[in-house]
Amino acid sequence: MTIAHHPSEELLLDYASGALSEPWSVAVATHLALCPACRKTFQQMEAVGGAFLDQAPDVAEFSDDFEGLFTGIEQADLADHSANISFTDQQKTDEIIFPEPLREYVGGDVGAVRWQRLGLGAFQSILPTNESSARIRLLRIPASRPVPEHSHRGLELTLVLSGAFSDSTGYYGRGDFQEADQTLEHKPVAAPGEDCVCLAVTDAPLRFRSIAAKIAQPFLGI
Amino acid sequence: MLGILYHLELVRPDRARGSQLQNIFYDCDPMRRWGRICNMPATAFSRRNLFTLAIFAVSPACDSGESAKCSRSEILYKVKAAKKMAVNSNETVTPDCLSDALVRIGASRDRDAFREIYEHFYPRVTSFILDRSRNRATAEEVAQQTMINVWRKAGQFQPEKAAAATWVFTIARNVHIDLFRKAKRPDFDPNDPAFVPDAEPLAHDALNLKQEAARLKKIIAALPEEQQDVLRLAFFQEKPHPEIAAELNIPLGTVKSRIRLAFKRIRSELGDQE
Repeated sequence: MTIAHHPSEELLLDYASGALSEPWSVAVATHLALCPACRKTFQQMEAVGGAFLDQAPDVAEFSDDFEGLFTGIEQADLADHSANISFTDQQKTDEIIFPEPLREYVGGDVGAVRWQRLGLGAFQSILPTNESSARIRLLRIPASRPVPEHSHRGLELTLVLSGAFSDSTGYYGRGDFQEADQTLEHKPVAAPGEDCVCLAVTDAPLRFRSIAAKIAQPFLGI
Repeated sequence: MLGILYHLELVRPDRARGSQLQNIFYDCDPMRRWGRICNMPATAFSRRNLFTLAIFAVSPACDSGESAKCSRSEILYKVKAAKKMAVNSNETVTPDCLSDALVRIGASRDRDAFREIYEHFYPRVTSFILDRSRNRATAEEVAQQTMINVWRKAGQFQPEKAAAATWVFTIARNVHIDLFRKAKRPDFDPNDPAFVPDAEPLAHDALNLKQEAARLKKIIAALPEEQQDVLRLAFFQEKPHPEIAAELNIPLGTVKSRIRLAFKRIRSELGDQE
């Protein structure tokens, strides 16, 4: 599997610094699980964070209470044996479509998704998060079928999990990541052979071009 | 012997320089103190301390059973190696010691090692988070929780994958998000069966990585000021890039290009020397 489309470095940096909010982070972290190349960049960014931490100026007065802290830790360790629980090796399998952290949000793999009909054979499933600033959903577009043509009022991140789609900007297969903003008006079409399942994060409703789609939009929640 | 100990007290290093050495001075038992100094890697000494070490090396104390663990010739060798290191770098506490300390905590719950980590990172995490939260109590709470998590998770630290400061940074970042933004930080899991591992094994080992961490600081310092500003706002103030643009009053595209240029430089400089 070769991934051709990656998140921008500014998005990776926001995730590395801790500034990126939860819904967007789900898409970036799930891409990182699939993309060793971006993980390398991401780890370099964390190393920059480490360098800054190491050079952080000294605070005026450093209240040294090592003993107090250590006693607290020892007491907590006695009470909590879970600190020493180690991971058991899970069986390696290629069958899993959703890597972590996405699986946690879905509550399972693709089989656990509760799809909602979206019309034209397409389905969606909105995933709950603690933040209302943006919305995460899974989309399932039938093979060879188009997603209604739309542009964006805000930012839209799309991560392909299975199948593929293509639009004016290229071909997107598993692991590929698209960052779309107001300037992109596109008409993605699912590739033939397999339904396209992707993760989409948006911070504003999509802007559809056709009147029919516009009318349906408030009912579909997209 | 006592005179030399006294001399060592006089050259007690300030905090900005070696916290590991400073740590040793907290140890009141002189025998343990010598033992610990002898076991320290050469990289942990500054030029100033080297002088003391050199005096010790030629003193009679060195021949007595008190420092049986290390002979005069060993110490002289250490002084030589340390001199070489001191010329190559201005750093006193190298990431080496810290990385080793984390490994020791993970392997044997080493209290002294934890003290070293605490001395070095507690004030730094406090001041780092102070920039993010502008609240002293918050910063100290994050620093304390970070230290607790360091103690608990040290077994997961992999010295060939991250420098000590990088690892502590990620813990402090996550603690801050968890405690004060009351938010979740979704993260990938390398143990997940669906995780796609690196195609080729890591090109560098733990030693390379430590050198890389030192080099990275120099590379950052050599970046154009405007690129450093963007990185500083990102890490010290935890600002997403659109807010950085607003803060600096520059177009979003400019922030993006500064970020890209900075990492392009970092990548190529680190790549050149691999």
